[in-house]
Amino acid sequence: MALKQRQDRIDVLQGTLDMLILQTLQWGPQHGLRIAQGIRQRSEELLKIEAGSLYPALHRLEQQGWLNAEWKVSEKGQRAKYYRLTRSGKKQLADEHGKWERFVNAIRLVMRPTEGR
Amino acid sequence: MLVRWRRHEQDLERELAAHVAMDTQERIEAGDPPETARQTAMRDFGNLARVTEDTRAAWGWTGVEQCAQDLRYAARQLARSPGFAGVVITTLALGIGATTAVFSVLQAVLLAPLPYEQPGRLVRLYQQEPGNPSTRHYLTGVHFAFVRDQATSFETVAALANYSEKGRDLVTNGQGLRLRVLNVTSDYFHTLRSSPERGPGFDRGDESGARRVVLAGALWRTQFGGDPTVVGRTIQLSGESHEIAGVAREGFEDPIAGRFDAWLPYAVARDTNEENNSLTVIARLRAGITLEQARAELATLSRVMKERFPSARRSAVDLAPLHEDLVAPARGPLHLLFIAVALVLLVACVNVANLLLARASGRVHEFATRSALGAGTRRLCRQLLVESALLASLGGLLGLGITRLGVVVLRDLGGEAVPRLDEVGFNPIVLSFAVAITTITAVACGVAPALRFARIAPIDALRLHSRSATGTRGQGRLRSALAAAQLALALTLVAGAGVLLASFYRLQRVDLGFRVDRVLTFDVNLPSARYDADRRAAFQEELPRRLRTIPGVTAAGGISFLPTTGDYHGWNAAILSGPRAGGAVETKDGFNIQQRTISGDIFAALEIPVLAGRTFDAREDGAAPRAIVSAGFARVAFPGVPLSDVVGQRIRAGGRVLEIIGVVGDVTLDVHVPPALVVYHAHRQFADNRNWSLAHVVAADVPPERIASSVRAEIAAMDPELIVHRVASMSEVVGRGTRRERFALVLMGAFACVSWVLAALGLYGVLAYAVRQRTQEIGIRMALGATAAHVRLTILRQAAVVVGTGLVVGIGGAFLLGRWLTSLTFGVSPSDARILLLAAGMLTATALAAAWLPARRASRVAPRIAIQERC
Repeated sequence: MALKQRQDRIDVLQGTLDMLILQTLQWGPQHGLRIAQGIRQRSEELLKIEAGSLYPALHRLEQQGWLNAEWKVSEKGQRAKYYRLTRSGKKQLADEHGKWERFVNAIRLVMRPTEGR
Repeated sequence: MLVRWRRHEQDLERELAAHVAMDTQERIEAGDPPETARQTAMRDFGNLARVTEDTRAAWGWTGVEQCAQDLRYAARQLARSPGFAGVVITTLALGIGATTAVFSVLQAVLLAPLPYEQPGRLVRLYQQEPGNPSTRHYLTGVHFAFVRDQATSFETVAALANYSEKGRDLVTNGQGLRLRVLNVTSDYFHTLRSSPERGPGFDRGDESGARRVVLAGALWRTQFGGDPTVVGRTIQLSGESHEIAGVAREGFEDPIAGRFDAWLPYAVARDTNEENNSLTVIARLRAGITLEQARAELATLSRVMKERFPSARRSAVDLAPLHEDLVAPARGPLHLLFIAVALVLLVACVNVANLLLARASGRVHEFATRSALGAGTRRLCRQLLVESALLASLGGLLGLGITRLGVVVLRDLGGEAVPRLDEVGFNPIVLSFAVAITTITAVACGVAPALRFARIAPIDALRLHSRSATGTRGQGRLRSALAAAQLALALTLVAGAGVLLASFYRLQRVDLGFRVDRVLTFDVNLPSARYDADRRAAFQEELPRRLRTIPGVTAAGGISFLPTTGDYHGWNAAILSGPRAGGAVETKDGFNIQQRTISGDIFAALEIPVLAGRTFDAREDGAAPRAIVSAGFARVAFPGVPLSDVVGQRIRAGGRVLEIIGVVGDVTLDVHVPPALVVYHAHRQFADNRNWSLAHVVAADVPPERIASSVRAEIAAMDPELIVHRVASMSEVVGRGTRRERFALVLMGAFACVSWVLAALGLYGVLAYAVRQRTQEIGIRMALGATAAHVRLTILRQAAVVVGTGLVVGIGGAFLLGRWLTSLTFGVSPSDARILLLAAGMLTATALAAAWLPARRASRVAPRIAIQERC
């Protein structure tokens, strides 16, 4: 049953996870574990990214040419696969960010408390 | 590709391992003990296999890889249970092979266009009463010439005289060879767009009886060594010189009459007998002219024709597309067989689906485990589908072998019953069909088990006891439904075969009006060059006399066409005396007074009773032409006159005034229709009319094959150059008339038997399985006092539901099938209740037998063992 719930959440996050990853990589190349930790920390532990959605997303973004990947040695001396934002990845991030802003604004407008009540 | 794949694979493995390793490291640095750190990191990461698989899916090419994996796995699974795989593959191979074989016949005969250029523009012309296709008849030479000259709808019109088979003897290097020849008019080859490869062919000038010949490609190669200078040379055919006018294209065949060795010009200019409907006429529509336009023109021409020729008073000329005309008689049987074989395939699919389902039940644990280890539902379904696809493909491959065999059998059985059988073979269309039905079969067989497992929750399957987990009610119902479907299909086929069998039996019992047993028939043709009318007359009387001296022979005689071989020489007959003097003998179709020319003791040889008067003998010299008529003719021409007084009456037929000297029993021309009216002429008085090639009949009190060599010796003694051909027993000749029915019956019977056996096996399988599942329950019941009879009844009741449903649906199916049966039945209704009941009874009996074994096993369950046998 646990499996089922996680799948549901991936579906909900499908669109935004890509944007979150791209956003996290803005500040420089990073490996998978660090990307997951980065999103969790910046969301103040509200968003927990499972490996099961992270890695498929990373590989998908790489396939689409928004990310590059290379093996590097981490700050702690371990070999890890680092993902880096490509130029088209940056453009994609700007696009999605803009779309997201408009989406959130629209939702906020709909959900604001009705005046006079 | 594969190398790159491996690298990607390793890369991903390392990437994910690094994730876990780094996480563990960080947790240790944060103060966790190493073991817990690793465990937490692993738990956090989730199902490694699942993550790997999902990530790989992002690459976009896992489908192929997974299929390859599934395929490998499926192959291993099958190799592990060769018995199961063998049964399934054989069942499918039979179904697919038989269906493809029947389809290849259907395709070649009904669907493939005729092998001539622009075949859609070829039509056949008929003479018939306006708007009454049942009176369709050949054209006379006179009417053919009229239509050819007047009609503008056609590019060319040609006639062929395939009405009666003709032959010529070719003697090369002292070796005699009987050639099958066809007389055709000059535009014949051009109409079929198959002008001779060499030489000019025929022209209009040849139509007044020129001795020219076009050789078939094969004959030219084998008898003339493929010599290109052969055109223009003169050869001897039956002792007459013929100039070679051309060599036909290799493989060229007549669309209607098939393969010939040579073509001769038809002397249409000399065919002035307006009563002699004997020409098959084909034509090629002019470009842009529709069938309807051509038909309208023919209707207009028919009116002119009626005014000009009194003989055409009642007839009009109509046309039919040539392809349609050729294949129409085969359409019914072939459609029926295709439906039947498709039903067999369906039964085979159901059987395999049931087997797969049963097997899959045994694999619930395997699937639950795989699911728990991270295999998705879709993945599991695909696994099952890949397995059934593998089975179906292997079945299909083996099926192609069976198709090859099947085509040979079909050709053999079809013989003259189905036209165009020579064209049957493997081609891209047949191959695509085989692939398509294999695919459909794979899906049809695999989908039921796949659907079942899509809904199994692994935890339930693992928790429950294996046996109860496999015995879900839904699945039992599905399998029972499948078994019922099999029974229904089998009943449909068995009932259909029953109708054909009953109908065939009726056909066999038709009173033919003559003797069939121990009668030998053969043809011998007298070359006109050496035999003039007098010599022919003498020979045809001498031959029966000599044959009569062979030990064992009781009577012998000759006749221009044997009974049951169809209608020939349907001339008009005028009545000159008696109550209807001055009238004409009219039958429904106006053409049907059959004329037969006979010699020897033909009535004695065929045991046709002489009802009044006498038969021909030495009194029939040249002077006064005399006739013998059939009883049917006597009744129509001389109504109310006692048969003994019919003797002595006069009629006119074949251009002669005839005195009737005898009345004989009716014989049938075609077993399907009532006997026709016949006028018999004495060959010795009629030999000058034409070179009648008589079929000879020898009745014996020993099996006919035993006298065949003596017959040949006797003829060789009379004239060593004569060629005896078409030697056959009378029962073979009669059998040819029912070949179409026999073709359908044999195949339908085979299909019915196969589906019957499969259905019985299917029912047995379902019940045996149910009993095995319920062993424990039955044990408890018996421990609590249920009797053996009671237990048996429980199982039989389960069977009764399946059988009952199957029978009801099957009877419906039999009614539906009846539509396609009607064209093949004779004296039996396709929905004859007795046959349906009998078929249902037979299936019920089989079903009972199939149910009895499991029921008996259930009733013999020893309670203690059954309860102990928990695991």
